[in-house]
Amino acid sequence: MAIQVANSAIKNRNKLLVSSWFKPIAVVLLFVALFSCSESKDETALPSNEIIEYTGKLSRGKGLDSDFRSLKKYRNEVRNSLTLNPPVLKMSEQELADSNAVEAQDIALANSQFLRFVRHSNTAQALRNEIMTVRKVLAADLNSNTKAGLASCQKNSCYRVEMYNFFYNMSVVGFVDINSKKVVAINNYSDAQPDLNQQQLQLAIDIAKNSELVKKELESRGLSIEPTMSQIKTSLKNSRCERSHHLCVAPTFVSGKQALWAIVDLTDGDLVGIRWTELGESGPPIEVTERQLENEFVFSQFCEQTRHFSQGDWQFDYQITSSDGLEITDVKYNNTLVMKSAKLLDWHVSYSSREGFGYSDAIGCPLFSSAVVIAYDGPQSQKIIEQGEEKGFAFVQDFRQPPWPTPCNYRYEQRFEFYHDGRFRVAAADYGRGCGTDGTYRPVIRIDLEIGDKQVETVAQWDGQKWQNWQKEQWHLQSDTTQYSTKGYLFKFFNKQQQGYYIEPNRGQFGDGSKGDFAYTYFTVKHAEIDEGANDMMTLGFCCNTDYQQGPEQFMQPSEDLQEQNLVMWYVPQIKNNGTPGEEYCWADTRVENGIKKIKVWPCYAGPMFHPLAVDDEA
Amino acid sequence: MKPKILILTSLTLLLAFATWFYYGKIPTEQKPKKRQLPASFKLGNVNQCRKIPEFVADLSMQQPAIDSKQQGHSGGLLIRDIGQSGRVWQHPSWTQSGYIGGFDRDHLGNIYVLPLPYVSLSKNPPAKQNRIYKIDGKTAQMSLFMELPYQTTPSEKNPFGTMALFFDCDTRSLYVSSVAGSSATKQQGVIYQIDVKQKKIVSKYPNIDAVGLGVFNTLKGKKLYFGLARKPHIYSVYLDEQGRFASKKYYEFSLSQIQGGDSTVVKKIQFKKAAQKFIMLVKEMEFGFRLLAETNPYRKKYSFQYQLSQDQWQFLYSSQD
Repeated sequence: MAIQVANSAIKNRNKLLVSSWFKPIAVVLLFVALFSCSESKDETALPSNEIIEYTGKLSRGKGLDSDFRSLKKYRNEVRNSLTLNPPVLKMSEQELADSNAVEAQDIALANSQFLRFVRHSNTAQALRNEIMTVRKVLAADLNSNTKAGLASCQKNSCYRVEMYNFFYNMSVVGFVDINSKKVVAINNYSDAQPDLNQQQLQLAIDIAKNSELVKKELESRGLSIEPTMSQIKTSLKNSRCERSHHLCVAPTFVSGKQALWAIVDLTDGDLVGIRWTELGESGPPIEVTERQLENEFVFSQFCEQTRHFSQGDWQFDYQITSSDGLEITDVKYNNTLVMKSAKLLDWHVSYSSREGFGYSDAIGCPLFSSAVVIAYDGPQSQKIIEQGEEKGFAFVQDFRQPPWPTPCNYRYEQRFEFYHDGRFRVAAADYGRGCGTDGTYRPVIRIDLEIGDKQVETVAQWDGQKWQNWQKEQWHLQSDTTQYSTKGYLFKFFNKQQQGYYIEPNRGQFGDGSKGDFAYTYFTVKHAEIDEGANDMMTLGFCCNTDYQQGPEQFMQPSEDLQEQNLVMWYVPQIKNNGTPGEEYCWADTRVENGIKKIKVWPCYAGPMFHPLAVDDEA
Repeated sequence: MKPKILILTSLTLLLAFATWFYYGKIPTEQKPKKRQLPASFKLGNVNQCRKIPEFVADLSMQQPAIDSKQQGHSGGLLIRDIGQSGRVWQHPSWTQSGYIGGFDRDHLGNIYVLPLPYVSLSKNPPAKQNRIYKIDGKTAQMSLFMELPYQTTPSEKNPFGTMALFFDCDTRSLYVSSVAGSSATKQQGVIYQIDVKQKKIVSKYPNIDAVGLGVFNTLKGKKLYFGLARKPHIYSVYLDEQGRFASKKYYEFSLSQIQGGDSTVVKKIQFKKAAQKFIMLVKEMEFGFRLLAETNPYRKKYSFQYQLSQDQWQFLYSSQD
C-alpha cells in the first residue's frame, strides 16, 4: 500500500509538470516517436554483415544414453507397430481428447486410401507410421483441397487425423466425419513434417536431456539440467533435418539472453547437434537446422584451421581443403617424417556409353569452396582389427553430395591407414551411386613422400628379376601383365641410405572387398618454385579421358631427370562400378529397415600400401 | 514570457534535428510514410515488354524454349524445342560463358546471361565470374556485355560473381546481383542497377549477398525483391521513378517459415498474372558459396499471391521444381 501511495504521488507530480509549459514538448516528442515507430515497424534491421556463426557442435551417434526409459518404451512400441495390420502406431485413448477422437482415429485407420503408403510399394514391407494428431477441424483446415469434402461437416462432427510416415518423410491428413463415419477428404504432404503428439514432444526433450553434449554444454556455463532445471526454461522450436529427411525438432534451453538449441532426430532417436543463439532480437526468424549445423561445424573446425592428430607412434596435421579433400601433412612415424602431404585432387567419373560425358568432382569444404561433394562432419579415427588383434588405426573422411544416394549424386571417402609396424596406406573409396552402371571412377591422389633430411629420393620398379631405377619422369599402368616382387611390391622408393618404402598396389589383397586398382602411377620432380599440385588445385585433368591423361602428366612435360631430386608420387586407380544385384560395386541402394530408410552401400576401395624398407629385406 | 519563447525555439530546433536525423539516413527517399506507386507505373508485373529474340524464328522449332538447366550437356544456354522434335540448338559463341546461372530478356529481344560455376572451375575460372554476357537478339552472337567491379580478388574460396538478374520494363533497367569478394566473415555483395542502353551502372545497393532478384510494382511503390545468399529470407527495397534504390531493405518472408518450406535460399523470383491475380514464383537451391552441381529430386518452387488489400504476398503452395 505504501508503494502505491508513493507511485500515486509521482503520477500527480508528473501531471502537474505536463499541464504547464512542458506540455508542448511532450506533444512534439510523442509526435516524433509515433512517426518514427510507424515507419520502422515493418523494417527489420539485420547486422550489416551476416557472418557464419561458429557455436555449433555435432553429436549424431555420440554420447546418447540409449537406455533411458521413455526411449526404450517408445522403441518397443514402434517395433510392435511394425507387426500390426495396418502397421501404424496409434495414439492412446489417454492422449486423445474425447471418444469421438478415438473413433475418428479408428475410422481413418480402416480407410484404404488413408493407409495407401503404410507399406512399401514394391516389397509390401511394413513402414513406420504414427498418428500424430487427432483433433476437431478448424477453419484453417479449409482449403481448395478439402473444401468439397468438409462441406458435409456439421458443427464439431469432423476430425482431422494426421499420420506421419517416417520412411517417406510424408504427412497424410485425413478428415473424418463422425456422423457419417466416413473419411471425407485426404491430403498427402511429401517431405513435410507434422505437428508432434505429446509422446514425441516429451521424447524430444528426454533425448536432449540425456545427451552428453547438452549436459556438458550447459555445465560449461554453470547450468545444471537436473533435477528441476529451475535455472533453465525449456521450449520446443521447429527445426528440420534436410539431409537425412528425418523428423526433427529442437528443444531449446533458455538461459539469460541465450538459448541452446538441441536438434533432435526423432526418426533415429538421437541428438544431431547443438548451437547457441541470441535471444531478444526482433526481425527475421532464427532457425537452427541439421544442414546449417553440419556446414558451420565442419567449416569452422576443419576448414578454417589446421589440427594436429597423434595416436601411438603416428602423428600428423590435417585440414579439409577447398577442393582437394582432406589433406594430411607432416606425417611422422616415431618422430621421423615419412610423408610431407597426401590428398585427393579430383574424382574423375566417366561413362562408357556416352563418350566425353562425366564429371570432375572436387571434394572439400561445405562452405566457401570449389567442392561439389562436401564433408558433413570431420574425420573419424577407427581401429584396424586383423584376426582379433588391433594392428593400427584408420583416419577416415566422408564426403557426400546432399541428395546422395539418389541417381547422379556421389559419395566418396578418403581413408588413411596407419599400422603399428610402420606400414601405412593412402586409400579412397567410392560409395556410388552415380549416373549409371557403366561408370569408371578415377581418383587423382597426390602423395609427397619424404625420406631423410636431404630430400633426395630414387624410385625403382620391379621388372620380374630385380629393381630397375626410373631415370625420367614417367607413368606406369598396372595391368594383368605387371610384374610384382615375391611380396607383391611394384615400386621401391628410397634414398642413398637405403631408407624408404616398398609400394604395394592394391590387387584386391587388402581384405576390403576391392577388386584391384589398375592404377596409373606417376613419379614427378617436386619443384620448390613452381606449384605442381602442392597447393589447393581448383581442378586437374579432364573427367573423361580413359588413358594416362588424368592430369599429373602435365607436370612431366617435358620429362625431367629423376636423379638427385625430391619426388612426388601420383596414383590414379581405375574402378569400374556395377549395379547388378548380387554383384554391386561402387554402389548404393535404399532399403527398408525397422520401417525406415537405410542406405545399403557397396564401397569400392583403392590405394597402395607403403612398407618400410629394412636393410635385410628380400622384397 | 521569455522562457516560453526560449523553449519554443528549442522545440523547433529539436523537431528540425529529429527530422534531419531520421530522414538523413534515407537520402534518396521522399516522404516514406505515404508511399504509393508513381502514376507513371502500372500495378503488377514489369516484364511484359520482353521480346522473343528474332533469331529464334530462324530455328524452325515448334515450341522453342530457353534452357538454362545444363543437364546432360557441357554447359551454357540452349534453345530447346519442347515440342515433338526435342531438338536443341546452341550458337558456337555461347560456350564462352561456361556454365551459366540466370538469364533475362529485354525489350529488344536481347538475352543477358550470367556465368555460374557448376561442376568445376575449368570452364568458369573465378577471374571471369563477375561478368554479364549479352546474346544479340538478331544475330544470336554472344559477347561480353559488362564486367562488374571486384571488391576482392576472386579465389577458389568464393568462385562466384554475378548471381541473378532481372530486367524492369518500366525503367529499362537491368538489375544484377553479385557476391564477388564475399567471404565467411564479410558480406561484400552488391546489387547493381544497369542502364542497358548506356551500358552503365546507374545505382547500387552495397553490402548485400543476394542470389535471386525480381521487380514488381506494388500498391506502395516499385519494389526489388531479393533472396539472401546465406538465409532462406526474401527482402525488398523500394525503387524510385528512375529505378534507383530508394529505401532500406525490408524483410518480407522466409522459406523456412512456410508449410513445406526449407532452409534453402531463393535462386529465382518470377512474376506471373493468372486469372487476374498476381503470382510470385520462387525457386530454391542449396547454396553455400560452393559449386552447385547436383541432381536434387527434393528441390521445390513456391507460389505466392499478391494480396492487394494488405500489400503482402500470401503463400499458396509448394511443388517439385
